[in-house]
Amino acid sequence: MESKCDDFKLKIQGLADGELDLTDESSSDLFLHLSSCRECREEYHSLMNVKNRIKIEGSKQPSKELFIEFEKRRSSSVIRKIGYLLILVPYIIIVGIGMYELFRDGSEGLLIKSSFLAIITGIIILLIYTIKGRIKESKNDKYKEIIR
Amino acid sequence: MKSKVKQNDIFNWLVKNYYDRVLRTAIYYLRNRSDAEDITQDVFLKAFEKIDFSKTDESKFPILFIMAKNLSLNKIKSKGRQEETLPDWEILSNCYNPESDFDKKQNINEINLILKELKDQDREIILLKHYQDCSYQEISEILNIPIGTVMSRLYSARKKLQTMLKGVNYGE
Ligand SMILES: [Zn+2]
Repeated sequence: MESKCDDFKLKIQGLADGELDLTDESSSDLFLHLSSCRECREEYHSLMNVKNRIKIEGSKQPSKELFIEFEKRRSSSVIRKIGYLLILVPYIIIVGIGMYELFRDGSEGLLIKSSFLAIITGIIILLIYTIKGRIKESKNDKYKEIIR
Repeated sequence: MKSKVKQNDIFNWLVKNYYDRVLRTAIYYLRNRSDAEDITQDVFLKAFEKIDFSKTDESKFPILFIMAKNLSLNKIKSKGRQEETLPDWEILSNCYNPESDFDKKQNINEINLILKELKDQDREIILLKHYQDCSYQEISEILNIPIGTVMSRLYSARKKLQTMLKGVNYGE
């Protein structure tokens, strides 16, 4: 093969693999060269031969089980979320009402009021940090558990 | 939040498009059919949570491949020796028919012997291309190398393969 042929070797491979950009101008150079160069045509055919010899036949389809398992997981995660909501919402309402009553009443001491405020602030801070962490984790960690 | 119907559609699409290739990956590493099916199921269920489906033009195979490979290797580590070990030709033919055509079996056995002779790097890229049906882009993502390197590595690996195949070839 001439050195000119060497310039085409990767393009010939691309053609055999169906990865050649046919709209690219240099592709027409390749076809022009192929029409006049027997060696490169042979190169293409021998690549196709290798491809055909290692070709994989048939394809397997998933069983229904996979979809059933998916459905199960989906619905269990929905149920979990509903469960959390059912616990959390009334809890917040009860605490809220309690706090409202406590502060409106005014008969309790300043110490109790400020301790309650501190507890609530603490819970809110922890909650915000947990949620923030979760969001960060799910955003950045596309390749979590994955080692190359 | 995505609706439930839409999530099902996306999952079905993912499985329909990649199931066979992911199963092949798991079978290749595990050499065991039922374990491979379990791992494949795991891969899809886990991958669904991880994959960014908003990028519609990007292949999801690289992440599925990497997950299938890692889960398979972990399984081997935790399980030790396999009780059922598929023969090479069955793994490479993607065909479980024991009465499969004799010539075909012969051909695959030959190719398998040659693949074993290749250097790891060459074998890896040949398998990704021919056995996992990867595009250049997919190989580039899986091996974490530029597309230009994929093309030149594939080219030189194939050249070696061609030369070796000629050695055992009985003419066209
Ligand atoms: Zn030429």
